[in-house]
Amino acid sequence: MSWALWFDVFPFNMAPGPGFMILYLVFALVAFPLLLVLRTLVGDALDRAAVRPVPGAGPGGSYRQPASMPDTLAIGQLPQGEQRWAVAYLRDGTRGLTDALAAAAFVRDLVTAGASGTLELTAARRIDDRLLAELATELQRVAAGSGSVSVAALRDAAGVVAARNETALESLIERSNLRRSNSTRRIMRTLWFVGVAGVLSIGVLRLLVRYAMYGAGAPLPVFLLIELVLFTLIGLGLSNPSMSSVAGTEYLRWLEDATLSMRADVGSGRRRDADDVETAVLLGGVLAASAAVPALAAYHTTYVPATTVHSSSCSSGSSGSSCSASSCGGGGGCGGGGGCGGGGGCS
Amino acid sequence: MSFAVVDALGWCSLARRSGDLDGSIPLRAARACAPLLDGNAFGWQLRWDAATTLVRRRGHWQLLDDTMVRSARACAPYLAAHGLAPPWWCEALADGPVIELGRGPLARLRKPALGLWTGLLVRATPAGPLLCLDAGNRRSRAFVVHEHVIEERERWIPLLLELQPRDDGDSLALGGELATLAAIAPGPARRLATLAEHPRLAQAHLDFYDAQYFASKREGPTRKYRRMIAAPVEADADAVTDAVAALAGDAAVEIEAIARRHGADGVHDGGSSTPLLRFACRNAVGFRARFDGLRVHVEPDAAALARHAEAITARWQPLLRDDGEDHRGALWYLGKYFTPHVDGEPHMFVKPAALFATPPGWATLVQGPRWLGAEILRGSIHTDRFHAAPAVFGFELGARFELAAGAPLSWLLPYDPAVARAAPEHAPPLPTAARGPEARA
Repeated sequence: MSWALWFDVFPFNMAPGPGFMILYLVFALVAFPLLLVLRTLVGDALDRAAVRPVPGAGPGGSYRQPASMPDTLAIGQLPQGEQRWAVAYLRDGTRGLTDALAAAAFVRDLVTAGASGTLELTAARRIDDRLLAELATELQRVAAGSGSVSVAALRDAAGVVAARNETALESLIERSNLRRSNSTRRIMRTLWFVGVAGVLSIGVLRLLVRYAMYGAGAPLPVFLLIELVLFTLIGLGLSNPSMSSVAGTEYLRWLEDATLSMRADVGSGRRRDADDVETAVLLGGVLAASAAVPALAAYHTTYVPATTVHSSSCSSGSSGSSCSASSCGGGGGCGGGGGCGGGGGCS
Repeated sequence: MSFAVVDALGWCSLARRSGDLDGSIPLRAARACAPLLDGNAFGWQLRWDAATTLVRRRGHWQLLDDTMVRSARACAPYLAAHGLAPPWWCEALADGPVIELGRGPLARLRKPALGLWTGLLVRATPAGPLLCLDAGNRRSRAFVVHEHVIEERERWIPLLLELQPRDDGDSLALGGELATLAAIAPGPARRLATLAEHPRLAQAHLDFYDAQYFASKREGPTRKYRRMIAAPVEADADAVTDAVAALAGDAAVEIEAIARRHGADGVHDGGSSTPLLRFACRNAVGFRARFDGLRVHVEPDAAALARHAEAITARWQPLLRDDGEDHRGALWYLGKYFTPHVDGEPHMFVKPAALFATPPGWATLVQGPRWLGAEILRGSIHTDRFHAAPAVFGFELGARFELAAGAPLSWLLPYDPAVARAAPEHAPPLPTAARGPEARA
């Protein structure tokens, strides 16, 4: 292995002992995080590049004739119809979708609060939304003619519908490029493996140079071998990049910001349109709409763990309620209140 | 319908304002000063309902309320996706509702001001271009709102206020009336003329300021102007068809365009094919003035004042009738140039030596620069019947104010009051808008 002597340079030619092992460990401690950062940056860039820009309505656009609703989720477009369920799923998986469907059952009056904690099913009627129609059918099946269900049964029924539609919603999310594509993940994985191979090759090269220079007389490099095994395991363990796309995260963040006012209004009861309330629920959790639909509070108490109310929704929810409180108290009205006060004083 | 508006954020509202500013102006002015009342009631007031603060951090201005910043920032892609705002504006608003003029896409602007998006989108209508001014006589003195015109009729334009802080402070409170919006009918041509070309204007001035007027004036307000404008406009075949400024002395009056324009492709100075024109008066006599808490003290350039009076006499002499009437008061009105207000009021007015006339039904809005320590109050004169256009100064207590001869004094904009006060067309608010003026504390 005379070629190994080409690498008779520092640090490969260090004398046998713990020196190289420590140096290699430090190098790996720096290299692996850097590799992760690099892989993330490349993945994020590819995620963003995959998102198609939303076509504007053109200079003649008008709010009365909005741009035709694309069949994908995109920044700039508030989700409508089935897209909202996809947002709930994107945000919190099956659990989020289940909660959103159960809340929608209250919002759309599929159920009303009955006696002793049960929920009364309302009379069958045409429901435009496909998932809610499925939920209504499921509830009728569960009720088995009794006309009422328990809160637990509602959640179970919502869970069934959610599970049944996961694939379709996942497809919509993928079409919107809000999940990381396989090709992006492949590129990220390749990048990772190349980097890990680079790290490992340094250790292997050291072994070869050490052997060429010091032969079998040198003690067995146990710690270096352990490091190589450890780094290999780390490389394999972290090889799979996340499925979640930065584009999805940015979309959800945009949606939260774009609906801050809407959710505050729903939280304070100023808006009661079903679409608005559902949007508030799927972004802010069930509590966000409890002012508009009081029955949701009972559902929340029973089934929704506190952790599902996300911090961002908390802030908006709280701003909504504080907004309500202050406006009632004359915070906003105080603007007028000042004028009123002046008027009163003058008269 | 004067202009169209759609609310994207729910921060602001538009309202008409009472002429007496909800009873806050002096009683004497409320009873007698119709131009002040009309000026206060001009157009539609933009009220900032979501009271908040603009703060400067590390040299950058931004709204203190992070929720508002996030809402506005998220609204820009919505506007872009729905074609509700031109791309230039969507790009400019992508970082939030405050745009630092002189940076980024607004680098071409020369004024060191900051742009504040009100959350409204507006567009002009065939009634005329939309004029955005400061809020006039009831406004925050902590900053200046620069005027601009919006001519765009097809596309929505974000209503951006160009604010200029008055001092080096790091915060500005936002709330109440921030600006005035009014559609201005393009209307008649603007024309400069001599008094000799319009002897009817001279005669109207002499008739109004007759000896009896000054005799009554010594007793108190005559209310002659009020009675005049309350009377119905009589059909007059000889009435002017243009907006005319007839020079009645050595007044320096020019026709100028309101240059600042917000359009689909951004913010520009000039470039309009149909600019909004107004008369601009320059100060005829240099002076110093100071309000000591009781009276306004004026120190004019005496020699210049004497020359000014002589020029007026010379210009008017050929027009005076030999009818036995004493017209000295009418000429003194112009020649004395400065007229003090009563004790206790931080006001005085000066009278450019020019008479202004507009076609029947039209009026003239008078406003002027916002100096440090002094300003010209906003007023509106029925120049279809009354033709003098005094500029009323308001002084801050203790401020020592000096205005050189030839400096800009007042701007006179002919306008159709019916168009300016016509209600805007409110489109339904966007889903991103907070509901109701009380939406935010």
